[in-house]
Amino acid sequence: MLFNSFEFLVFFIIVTGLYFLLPHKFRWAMLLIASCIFYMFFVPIYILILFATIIIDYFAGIYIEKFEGKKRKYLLVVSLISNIGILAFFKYFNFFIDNLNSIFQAVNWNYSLTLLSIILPIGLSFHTFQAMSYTIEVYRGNQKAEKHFGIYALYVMYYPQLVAGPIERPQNLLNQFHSKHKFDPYLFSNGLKQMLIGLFKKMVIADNLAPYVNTVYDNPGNFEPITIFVATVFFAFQIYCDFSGYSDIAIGASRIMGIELMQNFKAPYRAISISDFWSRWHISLSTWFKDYLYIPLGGNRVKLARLCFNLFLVFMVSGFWHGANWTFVIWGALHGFYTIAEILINRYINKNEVQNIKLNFLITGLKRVVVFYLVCFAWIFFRAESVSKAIFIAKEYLIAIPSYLHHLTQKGYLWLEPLIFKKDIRLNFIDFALLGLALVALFYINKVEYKTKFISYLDSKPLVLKWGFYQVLILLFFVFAAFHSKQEFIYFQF
Amino acid sequence: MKIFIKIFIFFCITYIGLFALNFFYEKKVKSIYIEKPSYIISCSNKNYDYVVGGSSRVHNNFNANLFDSLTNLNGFNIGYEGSAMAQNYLTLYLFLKNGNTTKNYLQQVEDNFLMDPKVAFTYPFQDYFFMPYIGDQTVDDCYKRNVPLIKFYLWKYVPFLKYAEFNNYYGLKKIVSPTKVDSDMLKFKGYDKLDVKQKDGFPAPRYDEINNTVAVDESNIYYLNKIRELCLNSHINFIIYSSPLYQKSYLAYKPKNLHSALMKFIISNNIKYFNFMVTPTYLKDSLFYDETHLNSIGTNLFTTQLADSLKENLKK
Repeated sequence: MLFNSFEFLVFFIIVTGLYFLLPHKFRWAMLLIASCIFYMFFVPIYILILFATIIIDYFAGIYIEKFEGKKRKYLLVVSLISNIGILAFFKYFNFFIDNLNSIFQAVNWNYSLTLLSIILPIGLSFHTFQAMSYTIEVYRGNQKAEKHFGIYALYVMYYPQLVAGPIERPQNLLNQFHSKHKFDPYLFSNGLKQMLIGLFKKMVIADNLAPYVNTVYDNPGNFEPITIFVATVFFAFQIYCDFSGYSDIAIGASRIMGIELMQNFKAPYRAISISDFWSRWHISLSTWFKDYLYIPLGGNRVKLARLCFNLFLVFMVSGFWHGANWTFVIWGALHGFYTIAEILINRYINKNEVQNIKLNFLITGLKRVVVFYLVCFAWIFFRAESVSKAIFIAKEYLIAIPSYLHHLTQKGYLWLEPLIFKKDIRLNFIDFALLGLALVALFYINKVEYKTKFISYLDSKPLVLKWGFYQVLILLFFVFAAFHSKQEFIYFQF
Repeated sequence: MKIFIKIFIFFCITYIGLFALNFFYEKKVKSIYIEKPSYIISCSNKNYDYVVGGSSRVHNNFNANLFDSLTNLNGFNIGYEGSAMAQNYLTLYLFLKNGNTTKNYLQQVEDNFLMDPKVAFTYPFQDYFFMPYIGDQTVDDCYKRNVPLIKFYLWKYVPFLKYAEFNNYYGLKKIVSPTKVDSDMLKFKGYDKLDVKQKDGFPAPRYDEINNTVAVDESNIYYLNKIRELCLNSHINFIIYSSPLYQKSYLAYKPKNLHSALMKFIISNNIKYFNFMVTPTYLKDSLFYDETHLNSIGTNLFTTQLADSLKENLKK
């Protein structure tokens, strides 16, 4: 069930209504049943996989708490292996076989292993990581094992964040299921606002950018470098609005019921460094990797060479987590490379603090542009279907601006001509202007979000301004939302 | 309590905003040109000797100018792509309601037109064409039979929702700066010529897997009868014809029960019927664009044959 569907609207109204109508002791059961229905809208049979991991992790948690010494470790290993095993089988088995077959072919060994015809269970990477964080936290003693099987199952299956996060920690989410939540009109209106912003990001911005990006990325050879550059920038906003839009809807839907999910995005494209970007982009995943991989590897308290290795490894794994394709691995590696380069630059270049405020402002702006340029470059590998296509696009991306400036001065064509009047791109100047306006509005929201939460910021404004903003947003949503496209959320594939 | 009142007032303002937007769209949409169907159902005070309705097998396979020259009549091709029987009925109904007149109405029906629209058409009922007319009893009845009831009531009572859901068709750009009526469409009187060059992959019989008996969808007969009644009440001469089909596909398909259902309806209502579905002339591949459409050469041949057959049966 997609958040941007009519089915979800009906589902949401019924579930939220029932939640407040039922006594507290029955709510977990209702939410669990609702979550099962939500999940079974995709591939119903896969719910059995989810149940299998839930049972394993539930008992693992209880016995890890009960036992002492090595037994606890063994139980943790069993739990982690079963989770990773399922993830590896469904997500990476065919990738592994495919690569093995390529190697066989390369060494002229006439042998080919058969690929399995399996579909990746939706949101597998997300709920696997969430389940793993539970057993790890119980093992570390940061979380008590959950004795109530239904509530533990709900922790893994809670419908707002089941298929695309935020990847929650038991310390935050599990305890909230035990607490009694009364209907709070403030949370109700706040949650609805968050959902509206999320739907706007997804259906107005992301889904309207998608056709341009898809057209260019499907046949990049048909387009000029500047068109490819713009499509890449558009993709950066598409994926941001798509994924953060999903998170907003999940957080808002949950907040209405009084259950607070963690913030997943915080104005990532205003980051002034790559490490800053990762503290603002998909926060629940980056902190997961930090807590459960980076710090166990030694964190910052290791020698420089080891630190670089650790960072590179974490980003490679992060890339691989996103998808079983070399393009994702390269995307992760690029971010690893950026981060290492950033650390080296910060260590070896003498940092002269600029005192001039105006200059500081300019430098910060420049940093943002550079970070955004680099992040967009990495997005090419995330979006392209194959490495060869990504390399072609990357080359065009790098030469785009100089080539565009050259054409402008030499050929004198209209500045928008290569962007909108090209074959298959059905955008005219008005569309372009509207998309531009939407992105400017997004920049403004991000500017606020850089310091505080946008809804809280708006709540502090006079009523006319506050209501005016939401009314305009609703009207714009109805006029421009891509209801017809019914595009899935990009992160559903992971 | 105070916050509930605030939420209520907020939703009231939203409702008023959407109502105003709906009002603006409703006024504009009925008077602008979007596509051929929007033109047909919104044009007014046109007087024709005949109009011909149906699916793309009318839109692309009935040369109205040629027919006019052969019969000395003045007509218009009101068929359009993907339109099932319910749409043909609504199109004719709205066309007549706007003050347009015709002496004759030709309805294209082939056997497979009577199948379940969900099987025969990619979009069974193109509801978005008739959105501005929701509220008209006849249009509402048609919606209730063809779309989920909950959707219909939402479209009817939540202002602007119907235009929002189909904003790819009713885009703001089209409303604010409408395009002019397609001059070719007017010049060729609704006929859209297909290339002589055949579509890639032709011929590829598509009906092999379908059984010899296919269930007749009663709603098609229902709307065919509604068209008949509409013509009867408006004193319009009602004629049904079946246009040529690519026979290698059609013969493999043999939906005999569909044809007998059509014949039963025609005979019981004493309707004039002209069948070109399996005429030997149309055995040549070179007359077809694809399995279901004639190319421009085939269309001219068929239009001429149809004119010859109908000459004596048309009301002058």
